[in-house]
Amino acid sequence: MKLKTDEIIKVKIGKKLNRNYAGYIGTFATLAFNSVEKKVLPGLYEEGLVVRAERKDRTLALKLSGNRPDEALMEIMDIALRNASAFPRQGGRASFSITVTATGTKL
Amino acid sequence: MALKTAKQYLDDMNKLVPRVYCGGKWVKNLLDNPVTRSMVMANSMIYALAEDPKNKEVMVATSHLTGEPINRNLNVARNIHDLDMRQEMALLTSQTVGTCNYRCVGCDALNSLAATTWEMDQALGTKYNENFNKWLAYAQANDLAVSGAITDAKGDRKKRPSQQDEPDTFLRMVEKRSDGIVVRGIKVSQSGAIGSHETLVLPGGALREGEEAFALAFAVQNSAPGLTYITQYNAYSAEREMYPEEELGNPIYGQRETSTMYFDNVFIPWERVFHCGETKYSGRIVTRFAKAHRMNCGGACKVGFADLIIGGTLLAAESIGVEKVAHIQEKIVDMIRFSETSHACAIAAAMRGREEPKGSGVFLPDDLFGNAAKLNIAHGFWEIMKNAGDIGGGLVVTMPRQQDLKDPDVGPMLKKAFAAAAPAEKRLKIAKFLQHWTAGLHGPGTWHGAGAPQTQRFMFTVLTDFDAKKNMAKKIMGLKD
Repeated sequence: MKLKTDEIIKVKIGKKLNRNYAGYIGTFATLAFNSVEKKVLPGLYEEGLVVRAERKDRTLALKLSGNRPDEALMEIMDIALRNASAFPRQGGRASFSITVTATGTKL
Repeated sequence: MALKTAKQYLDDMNKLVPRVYCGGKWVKNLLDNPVTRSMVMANSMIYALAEDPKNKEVMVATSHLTGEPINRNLNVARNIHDLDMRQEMALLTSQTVGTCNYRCVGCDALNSLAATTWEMDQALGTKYNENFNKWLAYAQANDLAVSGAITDAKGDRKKRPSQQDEPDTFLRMVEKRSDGIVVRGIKVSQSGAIGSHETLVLPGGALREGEEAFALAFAVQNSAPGLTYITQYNAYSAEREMYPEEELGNPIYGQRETSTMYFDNVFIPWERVFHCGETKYSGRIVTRFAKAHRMNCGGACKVGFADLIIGGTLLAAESIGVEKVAHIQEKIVDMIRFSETSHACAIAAAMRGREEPKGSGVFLPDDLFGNAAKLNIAHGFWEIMKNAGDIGGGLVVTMPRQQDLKDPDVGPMLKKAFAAAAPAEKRLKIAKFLQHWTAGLHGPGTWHGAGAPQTQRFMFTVLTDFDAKKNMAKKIMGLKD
């Protein structure tokens, strides 16, 4: 029996950095709820980290606090995705996307 | 990947950051804190057991969803052999780690959900079984460590869940959304959720009409925002923080580690929800979980512990040269009697297991034998501990630290004091092992785990045909009325 059990989420940072993660179906909804409603990300406890979060259908736009380079933002998102039980996936067609930027203000 | 290695599991745990509070501190990494580390190391050994080809029959099963090999902790029993291997797994894991298989409660919870979600879908036209099977296939494919949370904080026992002064004493749904539900409340005495990828949450007991908000079953990720774990903390936790592992009774795997789980408005997407509001089925979910868990926890897991205690007690007797004394041998035999009769009940519960509900394809153990296994070991375990304490002697609780033997001042005195038929080092090591079992947390833990004995006594009254027994007696007596 072949069951569809996962969904692929593309994390996009800046113009060049992006990575796909596969998680159990509902993972994107979990990330969207927590960032939009609670302003938090799984596995991260830094207060004020999520400054703004906006969901539009299958896309989520996140603005994180601080002047963080793209690589640091990807590191944060890697922790969040893994703590939502989603793991890096090579290839595959993403059904959801998360765009991440930083406020640019000094931490 | 169908079977994860112990190393892969440990790598996962290094990356997960659940919100865990242990003994006055927030835990930043589960493997760096000596208390939480013991729980994670025990779970890693459960993965390692499945890697060893000699354990394949017991530890590895075939997924009924995908046909792939899976860890038996994620298997839905489909026949008598599955039930028998399930209880053998409980025995093997306990004998190996001397503490919880922290995937055990999750295993019994998922068997209950496999049966009851199927039943709900048949009767109500819901899609819970489809959701559950998808989630289970995902858990199997990624060999996730899944724990189970059942017991609510419960508050004032005279009051129903909705009547409590503090509503958080029972886990409940506080918001129903198009994409999922939001839950709030407390589950207590939860074994091993901190070091699991996911936890299956079940209702704490049977519910009535009007209590729909409490009728919930779902899977939650270990680091879900809003979820806080406050671990148990006791003298054994403090000892583990103070001393190196070799000083301890169960050096690597420790005592059974549990936590209080506080859900502060935790979001659960619908795909992870397997029961929501159908109060008629809440009791069935709990009963079926208990049916599986009493066979495994009572008749196999604690038997594995008993094997370790009996082994330690034999070594203690040998270390002082009393192993051939008649009353010592008699006490050892009594320990074996209590232990093996419980295991016999577990085997009987498996052998008399049956499909439940009919047509679901899910096999559950026989209820009466499962309850007999648990009730028997609940009482027998105290007797086993009593005999271990008896034969182990006062040294089990009066011993100095083992590292004191190395002290230049008092070491030579202690070596003279405690050398007997075995050197002092060996005697103290054995005594510490027995202290861990007999003067630790295992008595009340065994009593209450899988439900306090009063619940098994109640089940005996429900499951026993008293009239049939009276009629048999009357027939022999020739008594007509």
